[in-house]
Amino acid sequence: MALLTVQGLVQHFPVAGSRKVVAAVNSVSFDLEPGETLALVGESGSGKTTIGRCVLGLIRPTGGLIRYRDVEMGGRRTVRSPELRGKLQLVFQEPAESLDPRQRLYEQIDEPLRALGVNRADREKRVRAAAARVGLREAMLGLYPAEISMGLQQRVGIARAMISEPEIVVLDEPTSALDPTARAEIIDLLIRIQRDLGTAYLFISHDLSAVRQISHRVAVLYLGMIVEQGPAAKLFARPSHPYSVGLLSAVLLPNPTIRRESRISLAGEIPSPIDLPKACYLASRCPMVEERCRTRMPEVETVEPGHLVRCYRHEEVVRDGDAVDYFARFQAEAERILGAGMPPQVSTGQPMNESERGNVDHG
Amino acid sequence: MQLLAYLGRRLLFVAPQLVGILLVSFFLLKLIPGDPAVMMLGPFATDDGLARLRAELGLDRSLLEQFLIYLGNVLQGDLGTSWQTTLPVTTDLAQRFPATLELVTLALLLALAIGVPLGVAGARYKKGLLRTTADYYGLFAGALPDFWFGLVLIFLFYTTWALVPAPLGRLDFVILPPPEITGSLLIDSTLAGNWQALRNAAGHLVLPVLTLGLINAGPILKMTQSTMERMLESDFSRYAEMCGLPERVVARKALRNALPSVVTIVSVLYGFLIGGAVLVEIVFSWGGAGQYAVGGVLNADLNPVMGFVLYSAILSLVIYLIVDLIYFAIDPRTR
Repeated sequence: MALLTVQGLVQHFPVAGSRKVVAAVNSVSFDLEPGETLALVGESGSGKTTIGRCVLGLIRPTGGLIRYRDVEMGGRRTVRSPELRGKLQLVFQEPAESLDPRQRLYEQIDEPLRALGVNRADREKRVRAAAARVGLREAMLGLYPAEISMGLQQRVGIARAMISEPEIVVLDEPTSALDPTARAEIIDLLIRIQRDLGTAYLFISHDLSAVRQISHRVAVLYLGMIVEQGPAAKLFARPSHPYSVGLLSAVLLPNPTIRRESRISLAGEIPSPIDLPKACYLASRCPMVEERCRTRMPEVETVEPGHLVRCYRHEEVVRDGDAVDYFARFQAEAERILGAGMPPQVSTGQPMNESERGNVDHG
Repeated sequence: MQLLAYLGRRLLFVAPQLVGILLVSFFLLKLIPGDPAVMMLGPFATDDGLARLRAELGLDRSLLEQFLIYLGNVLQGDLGTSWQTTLPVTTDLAQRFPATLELVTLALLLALAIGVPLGVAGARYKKGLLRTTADYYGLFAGALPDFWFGLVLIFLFYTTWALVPAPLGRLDFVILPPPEITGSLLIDSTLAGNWQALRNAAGHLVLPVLTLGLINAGPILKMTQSTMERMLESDFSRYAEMCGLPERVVARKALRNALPSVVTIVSVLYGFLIGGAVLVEIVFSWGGAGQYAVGGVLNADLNPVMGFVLYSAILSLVIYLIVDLIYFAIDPRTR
């Protein structure tokens, strides 16, 4: 049985002063296995963060089922409940705001353990171990959040999340507020921690290169619906949904001479989640739209085991779309640029040596 | 050590700040039409007499000269004489400033005691009686003029129920005031063991303190509530909640982070009320500093006004210094 099962999750929020609802999440299903990273990607407003909150039980879902091991989350069972405390954790997007400005780093990292009622001696040992794990020096533990850099603040956030030995950590855009160096270090750190502890990550992000680097599987969200999910390497190399193609081609490349050959590009704006069409949500923007797309929502189809897509014309998308893993090219290009005249210890692509994480073709 | 260096740096700027404040207020006051000589000698004065008086007061010199003479006198501790009271301004203010300070300090303590707990409750509970009370209190306290509210209180507590002494000053005429040490009647009469004066002074303080305190609890409440709400919604509070820490602990963390803005609003109110309590002072015939200064402005009596400005400026600078020291103590980010 999967560590976390989400089935048909629906989350609607009422719009103040009207009968309408914001359909933030629409029938989302996915599994998370122990020690695995599943990335939820999508634009702002696609429901990524809401799904994360639902998984932690912080919001009661409108419909659907969320099961952590054999516990059904939501309602009375949340991450706050004594039996679930510390099993699921959260790392925030804004490291500065996620830390109490008036508490020393030591106390911040200690916080989950105090809620768990761990005795003082054990807590001290574990705080020091957690700090060491994320690369915080002992002397830093007496500092306040404002006295350290954002990258270090995020390390505190990670140490704090890891200290309760969680099985699942929801990483809510943990790198998007960081500068590129800190970002790379944090991704590295997260990968190393997962290798050592076997923690499962729900990695919520629109930072596609980070997603490509860290995740085993990817689920692409559009207006609160998963339009495609599958193994990271496959999905990046051969996206089967027009929206995935559009999203992936938005990766910023370090070299403008790398051309994109995609013939599929999305027009227009993301529709309002208040009045969603009954048919395919992408119909109004999709270059490959047909009559049936406008009348009925496509069913989930299996491209190959573990690779699901919600599009009538996914075979054509694969054929016509770009069959180039931009990330692989990005990586190769970055290495070429950084490698020139630089000492060899520059650690680009360091964490990529795990075979499970998408095989990057360095060609 | 760091603190001492900081204090030294701050104090270095106090003198130029004070001179600047005096300069600006001196020239602004001179812009107000009205001739002190005419005011003092009345409508039947001869031109000769007026000219002599002007020369005596130094009014025939240039504005800059007048200012420099004034500044020189101030440096020697001479703030001039008020022609209305015929007393040196320092004597007048020594009596009136403590009266205002005592009133304003007590009023703000009351405002804090009401505003902070109600603001915290309003932020913690999204609905319910406490939240409704906080909302309406903020609305009414913001909408009511303080002098009007003072009159209503006088009507109820003095005229109708006769629970408090007449709103005529700080002490009944028949009561012998305690020897002046701090200027605060409560403290002085306690020090002198004069319980009758203490009881009487406290009775006189009740209504003006209630007036100013209840009204000024409004802004304190609003500031506490909005900052507290922001802190409770911030990620660090949500995280503490998610960890399963009790709501009480989460609220305490949030309050500690909300305190700096409460300190700020109190310091602003304090500086403001030294002069801003004047309408309430008039309603209660308090004889405070604000009343004294307004009398000066109305009668072209420059020295009391300048003296008041100087005292208020010094007091404000001291308050802001204290506030900065409090920030230093409660907010690690300022260190």
